[in-house]
Amino acid sequence: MAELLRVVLAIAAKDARVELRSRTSLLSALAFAGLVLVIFNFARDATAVSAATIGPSALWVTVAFAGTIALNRSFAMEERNAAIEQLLLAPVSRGAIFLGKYLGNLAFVLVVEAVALPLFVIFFNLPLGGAIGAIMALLLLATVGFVAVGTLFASFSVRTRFADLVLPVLLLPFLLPPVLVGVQATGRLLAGRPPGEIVGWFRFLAFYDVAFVVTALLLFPSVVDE
Amino acid sequence: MTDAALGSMAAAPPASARLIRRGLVITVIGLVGLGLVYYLALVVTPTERWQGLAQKILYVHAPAATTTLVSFLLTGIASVAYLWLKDPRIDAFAESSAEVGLAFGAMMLTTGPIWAKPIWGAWWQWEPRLTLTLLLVLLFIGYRALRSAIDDPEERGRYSAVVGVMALVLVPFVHLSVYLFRTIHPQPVVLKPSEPTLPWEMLRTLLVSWAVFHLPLYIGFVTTRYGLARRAQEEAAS
Amino acid sequence: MLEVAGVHRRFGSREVLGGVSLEVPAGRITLVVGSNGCGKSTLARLSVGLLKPSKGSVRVGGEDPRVVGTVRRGIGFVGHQSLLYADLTAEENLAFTARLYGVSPAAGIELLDRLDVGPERKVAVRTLSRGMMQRVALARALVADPGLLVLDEPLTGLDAPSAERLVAMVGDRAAAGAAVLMVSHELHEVWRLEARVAVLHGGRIAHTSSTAEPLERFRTTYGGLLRG
Repeated sequence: MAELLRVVLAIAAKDARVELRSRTSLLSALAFAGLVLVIFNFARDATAVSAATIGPSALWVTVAFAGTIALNRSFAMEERNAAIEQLLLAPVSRGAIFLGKYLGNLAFVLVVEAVALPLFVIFFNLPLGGAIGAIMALLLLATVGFVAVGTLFASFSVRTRFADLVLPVLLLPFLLPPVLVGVQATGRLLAGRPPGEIVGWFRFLAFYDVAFVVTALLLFPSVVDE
Repeated sequence: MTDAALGSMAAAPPASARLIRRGLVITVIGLVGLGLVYYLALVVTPTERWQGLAQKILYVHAPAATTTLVSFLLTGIASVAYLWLKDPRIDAFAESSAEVGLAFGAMMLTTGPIWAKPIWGAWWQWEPRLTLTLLLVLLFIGYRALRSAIDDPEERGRYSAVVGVMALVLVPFVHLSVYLFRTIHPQPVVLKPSEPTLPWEMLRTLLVSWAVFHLPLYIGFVTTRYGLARRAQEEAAS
Repeated sequence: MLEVAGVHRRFGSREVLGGVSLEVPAGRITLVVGSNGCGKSTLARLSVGLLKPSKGSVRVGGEDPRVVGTVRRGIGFVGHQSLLYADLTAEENLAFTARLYGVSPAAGIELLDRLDVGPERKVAVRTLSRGMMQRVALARALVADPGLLVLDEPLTGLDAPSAERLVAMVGDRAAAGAAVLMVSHELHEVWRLEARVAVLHGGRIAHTSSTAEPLERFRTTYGGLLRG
């Protein structure tokens, strides 16, 4: 167990190091998140649609699209020089490799979210008040599941022609449940409903996370074993 | 090569050619059956009192919808089997069923709005069953796109099977999440605990149509498509 | 050390290897030669567990490297590509590999000294020359002091001095007791090694010889084989 954790962390740390070396994708993802929020703001008719109505959608669309940027990059670095083979050759399990890559991606997306959330609050001028904790919990729960799916899909989409197209087309259907639940729940929270009212939706996201983290973990060896 | 050897090769066509021929025969039976469905629906079955002629689209729409779902379900199950057995024939079947599912899906998604415009007053409603089926069709378009973006047949089989399995896991979650919205889709009229609510003449037409879609049409299409996939594999092997 | 027994490998419905058996004993070098597309790389990749045989078995020290993770610890592999992270430096790459293998990062970096990688170790490996990159790749493969070293076309793109150097280092590993399997078509370069030679043709081992045989004579037999 300690051995597994050591390998998982080593892989995630390696990904973080590669990322910090160039910062290209992190900066792109952050700029992207900001731009989506700006465009959403001007895409609404301020007299007809209130910020509170469109706000949750803007936040969740930002998260969804910024996430896909992170995922492509994660396996593009493994594909170059066939570096992923070094992981497959090492005396570590396929599961540990998946978890390492997954953790690296999760960190990346969470960083983007940590920046997007304050921007969202400022740009849409929303009084989060007591809901902030619950919204962060929602974001975290939704991210945990969809990054697992994205990590699995990115691990083979980079090996196809048109990788940049294939990944979002495959991944977006899997984003529907968390985004749908996220938008609804965020809307309720912003309307000042108590978090207790949306406990069922938290539970739904938790089930989604467990189901997809486990399935992705089980399927990953089928992707990399030739 | 001697003339005799050439003659015997012509006499015994490859397995794929037999499959394609068999598939086409079954498809023709299915098309004749479809003709019968049209005859039953338009001539024999009485017109529904409230919805009028628009209701007749049900006899094509509902069977197309269930056939779409069954096609995708079989692709999902074949995907699990492929990852287990790595048999190229299973991959060929998964590919065929997915593509046939898309054809039926196109039928479902065109007939639906044609019916919905006069009855609901709108081409489209974000209603759970519509959202789910639309999402599945989009997902399998992605599946099809993925397949065409990979050259190596083995990689293609593995990666698309992974997507097939993930789709199986996704369906219940989409189903649950879209039901957070209220449904305005007509409720199932046949399979429900109480007596079917559809009058017998209409039910009969619907059941005939269901049988035609699920059996000769689906099997005919899939057999033909599977034969084509096998032919591609045979050509790659030689 | 490495036993390949009756291995078949198909890609989709195309069969690349059709029953290859080969033994690579410790302390010796086994060379596999053959024309392009004869399945040399497939054989190398099967030997280290990167590919799974369709039929037959691959055993390293009696165990299947695909199943037993600890077996992979004793295998070093140098591929067509460097397997290095392009944006990291040689040092960072070696430290990471060392962590994966559970050896100290310092030991990994020390290998760079032994392979004469100088100040270049501090720059991203994507900027290195092919020869330097290949030296770092070899250091990576040797990080856990493997008992089996498999090299897949390691000389491609190297200039004569770099190739000579790499060949000498491979010879040293065998002398130190490692089993070495090298796939190559640069006969002239590798003929200076003392090695058994297996010719892969038509998905099978079609001919065996050794580098004790004069190269010119071998080339004649070999050419005849390829023409079929």
